[in-house]
Amino acid sequence: MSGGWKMLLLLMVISPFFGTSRAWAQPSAEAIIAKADQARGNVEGIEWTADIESVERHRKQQRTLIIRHRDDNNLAEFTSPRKVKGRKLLMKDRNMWFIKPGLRKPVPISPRQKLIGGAANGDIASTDYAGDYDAVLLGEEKIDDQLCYLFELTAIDGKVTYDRIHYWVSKDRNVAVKADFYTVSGKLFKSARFEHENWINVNGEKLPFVSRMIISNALVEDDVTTMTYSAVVVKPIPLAAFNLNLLVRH
Amino acid sequence: MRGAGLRQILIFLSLVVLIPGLADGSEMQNPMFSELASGFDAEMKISAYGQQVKPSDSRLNPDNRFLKLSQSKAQVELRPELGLDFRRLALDVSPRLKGGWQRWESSPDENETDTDLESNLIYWRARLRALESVYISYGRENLQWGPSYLYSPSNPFFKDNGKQNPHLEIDGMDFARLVWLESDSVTISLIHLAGPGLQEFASDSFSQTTALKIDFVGDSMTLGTIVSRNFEDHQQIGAWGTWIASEGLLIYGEGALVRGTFGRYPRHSENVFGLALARTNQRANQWFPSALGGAAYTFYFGPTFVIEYLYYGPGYVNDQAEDYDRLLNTAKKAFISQGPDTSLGAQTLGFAADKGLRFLRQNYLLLQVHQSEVGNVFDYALRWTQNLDDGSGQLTLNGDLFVSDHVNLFSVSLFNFGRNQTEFKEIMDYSQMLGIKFLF
Repeated sequence: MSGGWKMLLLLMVISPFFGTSRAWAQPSAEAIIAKADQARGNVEGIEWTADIESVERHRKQQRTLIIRHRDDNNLAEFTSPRKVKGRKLLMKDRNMWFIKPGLRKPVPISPRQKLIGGAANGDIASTDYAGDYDAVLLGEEKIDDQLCYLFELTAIDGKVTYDRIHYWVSKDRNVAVKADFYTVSGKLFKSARFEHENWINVNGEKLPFVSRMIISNALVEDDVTTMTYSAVVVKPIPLAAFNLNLLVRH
Repeated sequence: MRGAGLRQILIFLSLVVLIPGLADGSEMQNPMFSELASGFDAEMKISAYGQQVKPSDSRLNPDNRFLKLSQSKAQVELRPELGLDFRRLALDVSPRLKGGWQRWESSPDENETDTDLESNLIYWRARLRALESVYISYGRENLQWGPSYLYSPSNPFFKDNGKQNPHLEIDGMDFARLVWLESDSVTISLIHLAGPGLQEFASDSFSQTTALKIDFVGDSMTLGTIVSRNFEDHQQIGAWGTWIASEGLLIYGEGALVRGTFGRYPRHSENVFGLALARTNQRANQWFPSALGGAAYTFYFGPTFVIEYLYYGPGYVNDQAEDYDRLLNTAKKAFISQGPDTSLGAQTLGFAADKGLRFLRQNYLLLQVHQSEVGNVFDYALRWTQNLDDGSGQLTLNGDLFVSDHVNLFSVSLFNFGRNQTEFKEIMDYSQMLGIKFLF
């Protein structure tokens, strides 16, 4: 066999791998979304403070929560204002309980129940869109001069807070930039914008972390809920922090 | 005030006053004191309410002459909550100071008034993290679990789950607990009810109870079971579960099998009434089932709609209910006649008022709609409870309005419907509570 034929044969054998290696260079939709999830709290053992300000029918309300996350567990504890201080929202996988001071019986609730303003209970938890949704890349779009992947996320089952989401993820930073949330009937009912000015250190790697989430009501233009995230600390959190048998105190 | 309760309050209050004081002084240099101060938490609620009650003119309480319910009531309660987390130890104390006034508006006590002042330690608990996943505690607690609103059949300790009137506190009982976090999804608890605490046991005698409770949390469901036995050989097996069927729909169930019952049942007697209310089944080997099934659906626009059905096995069957009706009618006549059988009539009415049963009959339906944070300031719950056996019903309206971050107005209204011989009309026609709560 001549050297030319040998070269052609070699090219035919290895060319599929070149194709595959190009796919490796371009991360999968799931990997991009998993990275964006990480910047929204899906990290092993993390605590942060969320200041929520909501404007609904021109009435302004404010809440401060401390949120703790580990594995599939989230605990949100209200610290101010005084009228809600001590309320707790426990999320274990898709199970949720509401614990109110003075009431010794935790109430199991659904993710759809409202937290404040435009924020549902499911909004304050860390997100696991990579695990909860099927993602299809619709294309690329610029949002605020950032080139973004645009994904369509469809819920794997009916147990998550939103059935369908349009999700813009920054190409450069791998963080969420914008999300549009749709009802089952296909109506847009709220939009969210994200900023990532916080930083966390995970396994020696410095990663961006969400610093602000602004939720706008698609039906009432003036209704806006802003969640500002601060005091983000990656630390071991004991499982006891998420155990219903130990959570109820006063 | 109970002496032991007072001592406990004083000891804890001394610690509470000392800890922040020490931390502010020179001892601030000592990291232990600053650690104590940072782990300390104190809150105060002052609750004041007025309540109007209209007793029903029923066979159990003719013209309010037997139960002598006060028609007007006012109460002020100081509710401090103190807590300390220090390394492996967590302490919680909830002392209470209550001042009350009440007035009777029907004979024979017309226009009489009464006042009282009471203090107690309604809840307290000391909890130690013995191992990384083992917690040991002792204290006065109100232990509640399970998903249901109407009644928690699996709870062998408390008959009332506190859902009907969230502004009245359920007195705690004394528990020793060992909680083992076997894994993230399985928790095993050994619970021993050691003392009655502040609970009053009118005719049920208190009995120490030991229980083993297992909780399991899955991906979108939870399961739990509890097996208990008291010192009078009264056994109970309970279970509960929830399932997140969809993002807005929660389906749940709870049930129990109880061997024997403390309830009083009508039975033939040699007395002049021919019937008496007696504890015929207390030590019987008969198992009484109770089961509750429910669903809660939250709409996109906010409200949550709840439906529950309860089968309450220890309740009266039709024959027992007919005997009960007959007996109460006879007892009522004897009681108001002021004749030779008055004391037997009063005793029978007393047993009827404290039958030792959570419900009179066996089949109940609950419909409820509730919503929190309407306009970020208003919570409400509207509930209808239907006795499917005798046709009576109860409407409850709860409203909470936060007029500021520190002031909460609340109201609890309860209206009973049905014939006077029915369960919900046995005690009162309605009650109305209006109150204000200050939070500091």
